Amino acid sequence: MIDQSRLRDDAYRRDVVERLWQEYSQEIRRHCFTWLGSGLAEEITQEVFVTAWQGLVKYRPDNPMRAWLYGIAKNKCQQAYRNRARRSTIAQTFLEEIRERSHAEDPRSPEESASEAGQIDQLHRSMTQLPDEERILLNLRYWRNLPMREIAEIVGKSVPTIRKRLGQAEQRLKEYMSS
Amino acid sequence: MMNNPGSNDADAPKDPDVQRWFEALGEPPTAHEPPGARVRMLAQINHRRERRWSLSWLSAMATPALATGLAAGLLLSVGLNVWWGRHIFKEASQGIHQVATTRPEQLDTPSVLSTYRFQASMQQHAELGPLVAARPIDNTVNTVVGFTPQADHAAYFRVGIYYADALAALHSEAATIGGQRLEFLDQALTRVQAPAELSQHIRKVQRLLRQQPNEAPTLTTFLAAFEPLYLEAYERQASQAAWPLFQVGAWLENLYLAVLTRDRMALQQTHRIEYYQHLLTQLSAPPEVRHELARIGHLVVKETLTDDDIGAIRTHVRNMQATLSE
Repeated sequence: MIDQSRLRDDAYRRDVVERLWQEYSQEIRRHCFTWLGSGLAEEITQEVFVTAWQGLVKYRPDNPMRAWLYGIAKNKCQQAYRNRARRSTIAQTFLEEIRERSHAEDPRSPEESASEAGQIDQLHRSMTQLPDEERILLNLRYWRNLPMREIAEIVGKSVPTIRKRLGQAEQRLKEYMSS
Repeated sequence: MMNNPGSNDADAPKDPDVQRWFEALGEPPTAHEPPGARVRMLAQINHRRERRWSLSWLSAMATPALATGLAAGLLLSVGLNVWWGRHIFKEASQGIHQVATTRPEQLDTPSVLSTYRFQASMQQHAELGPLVAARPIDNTVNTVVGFTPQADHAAYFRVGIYYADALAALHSEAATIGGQRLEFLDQALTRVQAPAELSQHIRKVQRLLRQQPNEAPTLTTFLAAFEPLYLEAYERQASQAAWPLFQVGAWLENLYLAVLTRDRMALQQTHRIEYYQHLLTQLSAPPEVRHELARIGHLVVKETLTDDDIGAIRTHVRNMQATLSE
């Protein structure tokens, strides 16, 4: 329970945020991880709770705490996509995640795993050649399996625009994969 | 995440090949709390608290009188900036206007961004890219060596066409076709030995387009700066034909695109006909070209343009383009 009358006290709010961290940090981190990849997820998760500490003064108890934190997380993630440098970090992270899979241990037969590793390796090389935005869209759509609406929300564009750009990205990826 | 394949967006089927490649990657990575994350978050909060305390003297000074004084200062500053900005803008636009109206003074002269504005006002400008792509174009102009005014004139005219096409393609996010038309434009500029800054500008657009093909629409405004740049460059060179022919080329191409999209509003530019008629007379263009334009003039004054009228405009525009680009 949050004592509304004490929310102007910085130290009290800090205690509240510490409790919120224990309860919600895992799922907020998972959410940020899905949207942004490993490179920025932790940084943004921390920003979410620091922002919550600042914003608690105006927090109204009729708002569910979980939804409020998710709202902050969503804004922070969208801000990250609007920032060119951070967008580039996200694209690079997504690439790294694929590269790590190409070096992962595989319990299957050597023939099977060699063929798949080759394909992953080629996917990594092809993704490297794509512009940042296309790399991000393909990753969100095909690996993280997010619906169009959610991708549009993350990157701040309309669903038809995303569909069109995703189509272009798919074509380009296919060209690189077959070359 | 992988166990939720395209759940609530059945309207957008996934590409099976791409899906197969990504499925080979297995489940996407999952998040784990790194050691010391909670402590770092709390340290950030402490840091914010300290920073706030170090600025707390400000709140002690924040009296209503100070706030009023600051607000008045801010208003004064904004007012001065707006006044100064308007003053500068007025001077600059007067400069541009003077340059643009050194030709047929009494006529309704188009602005130096007329090609861009024409396309931006078109109802279906988002569909121009495929139309430009489907348009057969002859990119073979003889290299201009020495004084060969005819080939020179054709190249200036084509520069206008390629510019309008490239702009239209970028308007509609058609990066590939836009890139191709920019290439033609660059080649045409080289053929007429145009001032270096013009090619430099086009190459800059090409480079940006290659780096960010998805940003094509935002590059239109950058490309649009080519038009005033072109005017300025040829003003310095005192070339008689370069600017008028460019204008005619770009305008006719825009008219052609308006025909293809059946944009009646864009076609009914009655006020422009007289200006271009004047330009063609100044340029001593072949009489048949002027006749074609006069026929377009008769058609566009009609209150309602029928499909036959639009077809006729298309024929006249093509005839003019064929003659002027030879």
